[in-house]
Amino acid sequence: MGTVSGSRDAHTVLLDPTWDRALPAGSDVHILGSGVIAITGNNAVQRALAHPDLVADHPLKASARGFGPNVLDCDGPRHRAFRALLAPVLAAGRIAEYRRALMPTLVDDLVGNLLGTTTDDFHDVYAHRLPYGIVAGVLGVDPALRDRFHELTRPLSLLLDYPTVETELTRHNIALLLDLIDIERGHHRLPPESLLATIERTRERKGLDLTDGEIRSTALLFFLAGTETSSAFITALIYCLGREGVELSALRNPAVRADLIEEVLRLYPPVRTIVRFARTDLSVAERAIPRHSAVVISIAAANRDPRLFSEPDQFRPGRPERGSIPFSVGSHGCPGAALAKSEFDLLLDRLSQRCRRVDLKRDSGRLESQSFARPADFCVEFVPPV
Amino acid sequence: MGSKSNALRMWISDLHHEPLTVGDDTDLIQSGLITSLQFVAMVIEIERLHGERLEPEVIGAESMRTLGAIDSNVFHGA
Repeated sequence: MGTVSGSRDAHTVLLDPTWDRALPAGSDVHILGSGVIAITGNNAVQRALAHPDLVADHPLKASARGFGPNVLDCDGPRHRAFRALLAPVLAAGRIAEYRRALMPTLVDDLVGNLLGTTTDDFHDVYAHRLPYGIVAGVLGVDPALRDRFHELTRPLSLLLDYPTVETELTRHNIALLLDLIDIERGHHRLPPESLLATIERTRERKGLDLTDGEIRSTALLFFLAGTETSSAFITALIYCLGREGVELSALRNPAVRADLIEEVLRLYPPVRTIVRFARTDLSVAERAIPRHSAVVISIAAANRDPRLFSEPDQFRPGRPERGSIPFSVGSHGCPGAALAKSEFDLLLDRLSQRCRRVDLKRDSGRLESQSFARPADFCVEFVPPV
Repeated sequence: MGSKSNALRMWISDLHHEPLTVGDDTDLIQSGLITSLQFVAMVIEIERLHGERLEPEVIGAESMRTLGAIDSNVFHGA
C-alpha cells in the first residue's frame, strides 16, 4: 500500500482538488493519514463504490447535519426509498418532455446572451442559468423564484465539498430554502408533473415511510446536486471548447457531440472525490482497510487510469476505451445522468448553430472544488458567425 | 475523568501546533478542534484506548461531542 510521506497530513493533501496526482504511481490504495485511505485505480475505485460495507452514512457529515436525513447520507433500504422518490421524474419519457418543452427556451436565452461576449467569469455569471432554469422547472418552482434559489443554494455547495464550510449563512439558507419548498409544496397550482407533486404521489403510491422533513431535504438536495454539478460541468465544457479549438460546426452531428461530452466528462468529472466510511474491517484491491476508516475515492484518478486510457491526459473525443465513470457507479450513482447529458447535448447543438467558435483568451490552468469541480480563472470569447 | 479520557485529551491537543485547553465540556465539533477527517481518526484512537470494538450506535455526534460525553458513553470513567 502506498503511503504519503513527509509532514503533509490528509487534510493538507486533500485541500488540492487534484490531490490524486500527487500520490505515488504503482499503487491503487494509499494511506493518507491516520484513518484516512485514498483509492485511485479505476478497478479499485469501482470495487470500492460498489462495496456494501463502504457506506455513505457518517454521524459527523456536515451535509447530514445541515440537511437532515437525506438521500446522500444513508444506505440500504432507506437509500432505496429516497431514490424511488426521484425515479419517476428522471425517467426517459420525462427527460424527452423536458427537452421538448422546458429546455429550448432556456438554452436559446443563454446562447443569445453569450454571442459576442468575452467573460472572465463564465461560471458565476452564465453557467448556472441553464441548470437552475431546468431544475427549477423540474422541481415545479415558480420561475420568478429561480434567481432567489440560485442566490441561496450556491453557498450550500460548500457543505458537500472539501474542505467543508459550514457557517451561519449556510444554516440560514437551508432553513429559508426548506421554507420556500414547503410554500411551493402547498401551492394549489403545483404542476402535476413537477418533482414536488411527483414525490408526494410516489410516497403515497409506494407507501414509502418518509417524513415531510425527509421529502423536503430530498427536494433541496435534488436542487443542489442538479444545479451545481451541471454548472461546474458546463464551465468545463466551454473551457474545453476554447482550449482545444473545437470547430463548432462539427457539433451539429449528434454523434460528435456525444463523443465530446463523454471526453470532457472523463477529464473533468464534476464530482472528483467521493468519501465513504468503512463499516467493518474489509479489503479493496486486496488491501486491508480497517473499520472506521474514511475512504476517499478518486473518480478523477479512475478516469485517467493509464491502464485503461492511452495518454489519459490528452483530450481525444471518440477514443475507443471504455471505463470512464463520471457519474460514479453503485447504489449511489447519479440518478440524473441522462437528464444532465440531454441538457449538455442541447446546449452544444444550439451553440453549434449560432456560434462560430469559442476562443480561450486566458488560462490559469487552475481547478476549483472537489464536489463541483471546474476550471477556474480563465477568459473566453464567444465568436459569432461572420 | 479517568486515564483514558485524559489520554484522549492529550491526543486531541497534539493535533494542534498551538497549546490549547480541552475542557471536559468543550464542544469538539463546534469549536473546530476536530475536523471531519480528524473525527474519523479520533474514533479509531478511542477504540484503541478502550481496547474493545465500538458498536455503531455509540459512534455519533452527540455521544462524542465532548470529552465528558465520551467518558460517560464509552470509557465509563476508566
